[in-house]
Amino acid sequence: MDNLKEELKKHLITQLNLEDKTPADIMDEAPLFGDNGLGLDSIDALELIVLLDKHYHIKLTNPEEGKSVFYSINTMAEYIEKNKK
Amino acid sequence: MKISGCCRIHQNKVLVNGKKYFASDNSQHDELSMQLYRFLKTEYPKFYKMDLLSKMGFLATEIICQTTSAISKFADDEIALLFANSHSCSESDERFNHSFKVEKSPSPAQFVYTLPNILLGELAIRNKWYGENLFTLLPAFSAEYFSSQAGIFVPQKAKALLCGWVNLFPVTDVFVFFAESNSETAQEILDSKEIEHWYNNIK
Amino acid sequence: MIYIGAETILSPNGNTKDCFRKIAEKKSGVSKITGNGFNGESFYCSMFSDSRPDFNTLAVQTIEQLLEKSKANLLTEESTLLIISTTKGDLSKGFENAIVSPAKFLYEKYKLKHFPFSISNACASGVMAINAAAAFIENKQYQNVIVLGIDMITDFIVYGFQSLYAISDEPCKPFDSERKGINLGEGAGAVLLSANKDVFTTTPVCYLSGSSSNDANHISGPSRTGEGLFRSVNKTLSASAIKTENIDFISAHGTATVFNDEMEAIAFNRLNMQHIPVNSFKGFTGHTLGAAGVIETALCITCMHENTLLPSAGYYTKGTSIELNLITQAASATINTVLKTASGFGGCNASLLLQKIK
Repeated sequence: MDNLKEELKKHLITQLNLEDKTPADIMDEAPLFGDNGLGLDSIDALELIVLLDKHYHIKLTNPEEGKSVFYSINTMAEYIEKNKK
Repeated sequence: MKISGCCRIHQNKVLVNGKKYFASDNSQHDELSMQLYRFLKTEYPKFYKMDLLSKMGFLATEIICQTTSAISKFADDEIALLFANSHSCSESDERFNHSFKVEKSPSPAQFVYTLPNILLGELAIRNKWYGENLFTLLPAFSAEYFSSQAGIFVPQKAKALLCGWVNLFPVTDVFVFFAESNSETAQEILDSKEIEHWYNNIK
Repeated sequence: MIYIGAETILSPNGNTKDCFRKIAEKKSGVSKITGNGFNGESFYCSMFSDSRPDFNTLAVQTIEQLLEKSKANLLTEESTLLIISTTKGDLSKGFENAIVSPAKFLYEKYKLKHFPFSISNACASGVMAINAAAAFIENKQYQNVIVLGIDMITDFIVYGFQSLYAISDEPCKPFDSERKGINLGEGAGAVLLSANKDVFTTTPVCYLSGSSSNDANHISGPSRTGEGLFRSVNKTLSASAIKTENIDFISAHGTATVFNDEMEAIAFNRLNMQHIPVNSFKGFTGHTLGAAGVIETALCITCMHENTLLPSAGYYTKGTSIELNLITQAASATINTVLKTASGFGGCNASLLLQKIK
């Protein structure tokens, strides 16, 4: 699970062009969206759907679902563990 | 009207008001823009997400904002953004095209940059500018074009202009200038020869 | 005084007359396209069916139809400018040349005196191009400006809007509570603006004023407060001294995305315009992107001549936090003054006012 979280942070930085961030800057439990966390926005949320599909072959068809799945690195990792094929 | 500040990026060189400001050891767009960003010591995480067209326009505008004091005296809707180039956002078009043709997953983050006026949105967001904006496509740089646009925007629709030519191909060819009116109400001419002079000053 | 007329549309719903009549009868140009989405999805859009013209052919046909409504040789006069409004131009010419290539083609074909300007300002391009045209005339740089708005549907555009989850899988429903996103459209529109009424062979209307404003908020999401649209309409009103109560009809942008329509409702409410009859043409024409502002302005001019309010498609239940006065059936009305608005990616908003000649 920890390996998955590390890998996820690296994918996040590449896919979302967070060049000023390192995996160490991203806390497992911190919210990814909004001003208190990583500050991601609505386009990032859609880009995360692409990330899930590209790296984990998980298709999220309803962007609304993304709100809970993409809340934090922890919630993303849990979702991937549960749904990966 | 008078030009009160200008930034010229040509290949790997950056000139501000005709004087050498920065030179990169690399004229590749990616390298040049990152080096210049670090040199400016600006902290703006959104920068990393921008496409090259927006990055170049953003950097030149940042430099003008840092070096042209006149710009801060205008209200948030008094500056019109008038930008142009010849190839639109072709670099982003290629990237988005690649995302669906080769990577087989259309990238939303790349698609949003497949409109050239996104650059104007980035400048508006960064500087909280709510004024007029217009992105025009021309076959080549034209000082007359900007001079003519100045005539239709000032004083009716704006008090000052941030004009930009942002071409990336075949080489980086960026020219952004700030022009303001000497008079509140009277129609003034922005001399195309003055624009031409600063554009050609790349030594 | 600036006149605007010779309104011309070439769309999957036909020419200006056909388009007007079909909208009045609530017949849409939008239909189901089976299996052409990125993953083979079906989607709804307004596309030319048989003998789909290429970009330059459509541009030429539209200009020729406009010229039939104007004085001979107008296009090639020294005092005439052509402005092209498009988001993506002709992608078959390659990304670098997509927009400048059609301009060059028209410049050479018609031996124009001035190289055409192309305006690419997302979905507000058309309204901004008309505003630029009027400003050129007001500033006496040109006597006549022809504005051509044109965009075609390509896989590039379809896949892009799909990646944003912005395309509806049914006919779009601007401002309705069940709206699910846009229907794309293709086509062209053209209008002529002139300082001289005699260059029109059909009756023009007056262009009063126009402006643009940026939301300064987000590059793809509309402002939650409608700030840019609110500011643009305010500037447009004050430039012509027209008051809210003088406006008989608003042709809104109305893309049928959840956020766009809500933003417009908020802005119109802030402007105290929520009671004015309003529609979106997108349910009939699809969202024609860079052509939209020109096609919809052409339809507004037709509505003024015909004294008819045209309906919005797919509106049944209030779907925005503030109720607007959506037109649901064609109705006779005296339309003297019209407000046209548009908003697009990059946070851009634009508006213009038209008035019948007194």
